[in-house]
Amino acid sequence: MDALRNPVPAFANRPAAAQPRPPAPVEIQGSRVTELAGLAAVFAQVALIALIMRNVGLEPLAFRRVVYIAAVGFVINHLLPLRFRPRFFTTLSLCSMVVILGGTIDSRIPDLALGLVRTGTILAVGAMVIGLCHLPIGFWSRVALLVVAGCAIAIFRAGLWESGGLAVVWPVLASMLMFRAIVYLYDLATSPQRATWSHAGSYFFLFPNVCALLFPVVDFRTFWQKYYDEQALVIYQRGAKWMARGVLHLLLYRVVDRLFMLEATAVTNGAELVQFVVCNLFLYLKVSGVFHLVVGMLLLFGYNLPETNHRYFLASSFTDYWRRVNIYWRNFIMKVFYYPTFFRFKRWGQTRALVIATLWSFLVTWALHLYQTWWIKGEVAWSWPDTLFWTSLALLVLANSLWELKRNRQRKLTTGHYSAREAMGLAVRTAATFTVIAVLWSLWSTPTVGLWWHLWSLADWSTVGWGALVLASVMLGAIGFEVLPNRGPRIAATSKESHVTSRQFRLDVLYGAVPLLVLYSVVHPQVQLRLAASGSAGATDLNALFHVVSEKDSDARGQGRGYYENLTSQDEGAGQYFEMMNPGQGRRYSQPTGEVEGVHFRELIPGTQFKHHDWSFATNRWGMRDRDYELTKPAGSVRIAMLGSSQVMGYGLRDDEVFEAAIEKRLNTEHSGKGGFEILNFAVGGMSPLGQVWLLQARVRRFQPDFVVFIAHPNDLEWSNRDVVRTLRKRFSLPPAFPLEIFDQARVRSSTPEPFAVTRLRPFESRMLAACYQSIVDECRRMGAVPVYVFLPVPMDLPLDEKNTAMLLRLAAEAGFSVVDFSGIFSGHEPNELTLKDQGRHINAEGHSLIARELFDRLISDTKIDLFGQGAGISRQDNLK
Amino acid sequence: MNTTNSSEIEAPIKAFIMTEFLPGEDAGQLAEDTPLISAGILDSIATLRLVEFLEKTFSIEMAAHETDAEHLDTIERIARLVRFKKSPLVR
Repeated sequence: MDALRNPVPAFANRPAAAQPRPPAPVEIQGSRVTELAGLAAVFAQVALIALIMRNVGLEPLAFRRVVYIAAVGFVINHLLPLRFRPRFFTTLSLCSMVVILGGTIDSRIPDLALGLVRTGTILAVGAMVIGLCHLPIGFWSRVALLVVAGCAIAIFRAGLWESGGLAVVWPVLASMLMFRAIVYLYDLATSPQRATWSHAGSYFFLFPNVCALLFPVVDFRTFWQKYYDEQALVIYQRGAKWMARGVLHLLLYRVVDRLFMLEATAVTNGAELVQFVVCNLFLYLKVSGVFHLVVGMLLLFGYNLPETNHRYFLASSFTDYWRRVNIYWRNFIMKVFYYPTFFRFKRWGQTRALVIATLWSFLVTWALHLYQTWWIKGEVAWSWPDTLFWTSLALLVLANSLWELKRNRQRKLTTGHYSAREAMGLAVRTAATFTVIAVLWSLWSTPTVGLWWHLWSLADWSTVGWGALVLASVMLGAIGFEVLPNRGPRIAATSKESHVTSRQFRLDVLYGAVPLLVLYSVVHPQVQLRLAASGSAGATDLNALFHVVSEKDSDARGQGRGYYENLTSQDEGAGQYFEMMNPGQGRRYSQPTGEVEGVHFRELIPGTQFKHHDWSFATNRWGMRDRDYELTKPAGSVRIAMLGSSQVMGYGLRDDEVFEAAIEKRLNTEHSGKGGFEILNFAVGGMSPLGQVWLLQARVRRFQPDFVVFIAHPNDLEWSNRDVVRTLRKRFSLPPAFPLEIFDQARVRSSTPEPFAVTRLRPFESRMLAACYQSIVDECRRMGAVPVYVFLPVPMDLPLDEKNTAMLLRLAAEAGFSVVDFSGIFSGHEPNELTLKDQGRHINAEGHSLIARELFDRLISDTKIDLFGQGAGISRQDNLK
Repeated sequence: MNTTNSSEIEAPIKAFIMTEFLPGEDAGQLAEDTPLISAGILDSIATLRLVEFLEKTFSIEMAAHETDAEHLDTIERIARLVRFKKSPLVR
């Protein structure tokens, strides 16, 4: 710490020869042709990575754009003379920032003016922070000034000072500065080299950072020390390899998330407990995937940075886990907090100093994780699981460190010396470490300690059985990945032995390109279509798996399970950042719903005021997006219950623009002598026909409607399938009319992962939907209401699938609905005319007005419906029979 | 400006590393440019023990920021640091 007290770096008086300097750039061996061939080989791999990411919609569009920029930019960068490359990198970073920060929800084309303003703000504030680090005053005075500057930025981040369109700037800026400013200042105070503005600019404004707020803590000295310290193509190849690894991690995360992940509240037995614990640990793949991708991109520009994560599931001790899981974080904490603390207290003895330094480092780690959360998400909450997780990990690492200090751990120059006994010992230690870390991680990811404790009360023999299977796999992994592949000499002076003309380089290219080609083929839509067409059981499941892997943009939904998912989820809560990352994709659908006990459906929260961007509405005391109604139907009036999805709820519209309200108003105006009409809007976004059955039973029946108008959606088949599977998986009941035998025929059980179950049930979709329609009609008849079915297309999906539409209409008629076919209602209009500008799936006010006119006419003129005339009374009596 | 010859510094460092961290391993495999930190031989605990050894053996005082790969990744770099610390300019 002495070096930090003095503004003059401690090494300033060193003789030049003793000062560590960046190594001179290593020249490429081989001819120019060899060099260009090597460059093309690396480019081909990066291009494949970009194509795979595009095909499967991996990460938001803005992130993919950064990958495209890197793919082209690194080739140009390489072709430039070495002295121009740092400046090119900085320029490219700034241009990328303009493009990405100019993203808006309205268009896929960036708003460059907006991007320039936002980038300019980041540059100005960033330059001020860098300038503070360089002030010729004492170290701690500079720290104090940085804290003051941080507080000023925090005012904007917290929204205490409204910054309008610049709101997105603060989390991005914070992500660039929050740790790098600490590292930079520390390195300035302890390094003999003076950083130039070019060095600082490249370091702070790293271009992948704009699309990855959770960014590895890159070390400033390493960043420059290792710039082109190996042959360029060898560095690039490693970068491509890490990017490919990142893609694999992210795809594996998808598979775990979609097929195996369970919420803590969904765990009901010992086997599911193991599933929950293990899957939670695997969610970190999302972080390591992004880290590999962003650091891989930096390697493409010659920054030969170290690995960010290293086989962290195969750590053989707690200290080993700490060294592997987030290497940059560990290095940052060791450098800035651990070693300085140890050196300060080492006069108290090595053991005491180690205890103090370790505990202090973990306390700082915990605090900095909260600090990071606040800057990225804008909010932070203290919790017992978080506190207990870090406390436990700190004590385990401390105990492990003390043991290593006293007993020394086994290290090897070559791994080929492992005896069978040593290998088995390593495997057992790995399994034990995995167990403890997985259990701790499950605590970290569970909302409350009480719930976590309850989970363990579910443990039984199946927990032991499945746990043993998982641990056996971990042990095999330890043998397979840690012992067997490294039988030769472990250490090589890589800069001397790996070069573009070497066999090793060619092998690296081969090992990189072949898996990428296979992956690209697997996620290609044509392959999936062929699998779907084959129809065999194996092909069906394989297709489901590929569908999971290639489900576009499916990671954007905000899961928020645990610390890292909370940080990396980009849901609507991320506001402008979400919109910037998903340009031209419209606003994400949102509604104020709550879970309902005993079913998996969601309903609108009663009596709430909801605001979503510039759209707001209130729900009535019954949970309808509608005006208030009494529970008892007024005497002489006709009451209509309207069921449907977000189109019927009136997503994005004012209350008086929704067609349901317009029809009600018109009926009461033009037919005021009929005793009054009430149309109760029970619509909830995403509600399937199966959900409507529950809604009728649980919510509609008590309002005694005379008519039930069900506005069907073209997606009814898929939605019913999805909801049947979710109901089965949660072991909730299905309607009595439901053909339960199809589950056996389709080989579907409550434990079948949703994507597999949905795919296997696809041949039975019409039977499931028929059962749902029949249940709706039966329920209407039980309550004495006339069931009316209105088929309403989605303008953006036109032209309709005629076969699908005909089937839906046939099923509705067979079930006993009075059918109104509106499949041609939008003909003569362009889809864009009738949909919301910022949410293209939903119908706008003009479209609702059109529906209101047509549906009004049908309701009053359709003799089968018979809205008045003989009136509802006769229909009710008929139905009651 | 070296005040000590090569073997006076490199040899005891290598011997210490072999004895303390790599017992049973082939000393011939440990060259002066063999990476120690990046290859996982010199982890944080080993680094602290090496620092204690260097300070006692060569009567030097090390600073916290010198415990990185830039200074300690190879025997060559460690020796260079020791040699610098023992040079008259510093002393």
